[in-house]
Amino acid sequence: MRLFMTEFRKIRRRHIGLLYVGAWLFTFLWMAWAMSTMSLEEIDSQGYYYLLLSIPLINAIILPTILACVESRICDIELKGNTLKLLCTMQPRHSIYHIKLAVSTLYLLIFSLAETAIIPLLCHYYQISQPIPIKHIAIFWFSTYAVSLVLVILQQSLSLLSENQLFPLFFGVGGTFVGLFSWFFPNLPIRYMLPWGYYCVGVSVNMIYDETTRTTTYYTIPFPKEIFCLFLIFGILIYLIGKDRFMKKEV
Amino acid sequence: MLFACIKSEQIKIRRSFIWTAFVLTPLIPALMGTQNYLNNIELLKSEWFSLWTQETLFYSNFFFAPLIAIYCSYLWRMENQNKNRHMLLTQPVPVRNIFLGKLAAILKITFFTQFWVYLLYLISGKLVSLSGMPPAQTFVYTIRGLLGGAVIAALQLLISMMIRSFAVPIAIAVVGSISGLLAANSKYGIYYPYSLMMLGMNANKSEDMLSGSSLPFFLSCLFYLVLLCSIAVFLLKHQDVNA
Repeated sequence: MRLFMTEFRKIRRRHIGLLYVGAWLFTFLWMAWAMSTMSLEEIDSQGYYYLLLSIPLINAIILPTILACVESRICDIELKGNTLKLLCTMQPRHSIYHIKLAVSTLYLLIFSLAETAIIPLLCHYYQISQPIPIKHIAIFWFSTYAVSLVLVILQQSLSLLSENQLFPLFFGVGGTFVGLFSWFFPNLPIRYMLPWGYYCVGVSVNMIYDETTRTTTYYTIPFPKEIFCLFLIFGILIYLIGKDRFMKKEV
Repeated sequence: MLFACIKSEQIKIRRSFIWTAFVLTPLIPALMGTQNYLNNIELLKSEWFSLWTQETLFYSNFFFAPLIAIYCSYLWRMENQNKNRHMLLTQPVPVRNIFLGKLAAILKITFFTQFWVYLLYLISGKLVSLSGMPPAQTFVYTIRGLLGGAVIAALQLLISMMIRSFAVPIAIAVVGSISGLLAANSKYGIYYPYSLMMLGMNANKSEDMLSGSSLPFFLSCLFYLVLLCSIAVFLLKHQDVNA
C-alpha cells in the first residue's frame, strides 16, 4: 500500500487523469452529437445497440494512442530522472513493474466504467424506448477493459524497456492504424491477429444497412468466448515476457 | 546562421528511430487503402482518383498529425533533458533560428513522408493494374497537403516546446486530427489548422474540396505559419528557461 501511494505521489501533476478525462469527454461529445443528428424513429428502438457498436470504434481510434501516452507518462519519470538504479536498491525490482501496472489498472477501471455509463446516460437523455440490454452492456465493459488492459501491459513493458519513448509511442500510433483498419476488413483475419483489433472482436452487436430503404438494422451476435480466452492468454504471456525482460534489464 | 542551426538539427536526428518510422508507417495506409480499393472495385469507378481517396483517407485524417507530433516531441525532448535547453539558448545564435532550424528539420521529414506516400500510391496503382500514370491533380494534392502539413508541424513544434512532455502533445494531436476531420466537413475547415492537411490532400473526396477557394487556403496556411512561428519565437525569447 505504501508503494502504491508513493507511485500516486510520483504521478501527481502529471495529468494522467486529464488524458483519460479528455478521451471520455471526446467520446461523450462525439456520441451526443451523432445521436442529436439522428431522427427519433431511427434510434428509438435500437439506440443502445447503436452506442454499443459505435463506442468500440472510437475506442479503436483513440485508445491505443491515449494508452501509449499514459504509460509513457507513468514510466518516463524513472527514465528521465534515472531513478531506476536507486529504486532497484530500495525495493524488489518486480514491485516497480507491478505497482505501475496496478496504478494503470485502477485508472483504466474508472475510465472503462465511466465510458460504459455513457450508454445509459445518453439513451436516457434522448428518451430511447429500447429496454436496457444489460448483458450486452456488461460485455461491452468487459471487452473494453480487457483489451485496454492487455494494451496497457504491452505499452508499459515497452516504455520501461525503451531508452527513450519514441518507439513505444510509434507503436501506439501504429496500433491505432491497425485497430481502425481492422473494422474495415471483416473478411481479413487482421482483427484476430493483432491486439488492437480486439476492440472490434469484443463487440456483441452488428448491423446491416439496407441501401434501398436507407435504413440500418442492428442485431446481436454471440460473444466469441474462445477467441477472447486465447487473447487473454496472449495478455498473460505479454505480462510474463515484459516482467521478465524488465527484471533482467541493465539499469 | 540559420543554415548552421538546420545542420545541427539534422545531426541530432541522424540515426534516430524517426527514419525507420517514416519508412514503415505510410506502408500501412498504402496496403490497407489498396485492399479497400480492391474490395470495393465495383463501386469505385474513378481508377487512380478512387485509389487516391482510399489511400489518403486514413493517412491524412488520423495519422499525419500524431506522426508529426512524435517527430516534434522527439526534437524538443532532447533539449528538455540534461539541461540542454539552457545550453541551446545560450548559444550565440538568434532565438528565431533555433526554432526555424527545428521547423526546417521537421519540414524535411514531412516533405519526404509526403513523397513516400505518393510513391507508394504510384506503386500500389501499378500493382492493381491501373493503366497509365496518376492524374497530375493528385500530385498537386500532395503539394497542397505538404503546405497544410507544414502548419500542423509548426503547431505541434510550438506545443511540444511549451508542454515539456513527450506524450501529451501526441494526445493533443490525436484529438486535433479527429476534430479536424469534423471541421474539414464543415464550412469552417479552412480556419482550423488541423483541417488544412485534409483539405489540401483532398482526402476521400472525388471532387476538389478547394475548388474556388485555393487562395483562401494558401492565405490561411501562410497566416498560421507566420502566427505560430512568431508565437514560438516570442515565447522562446521572453519565457524563463526553467528547465
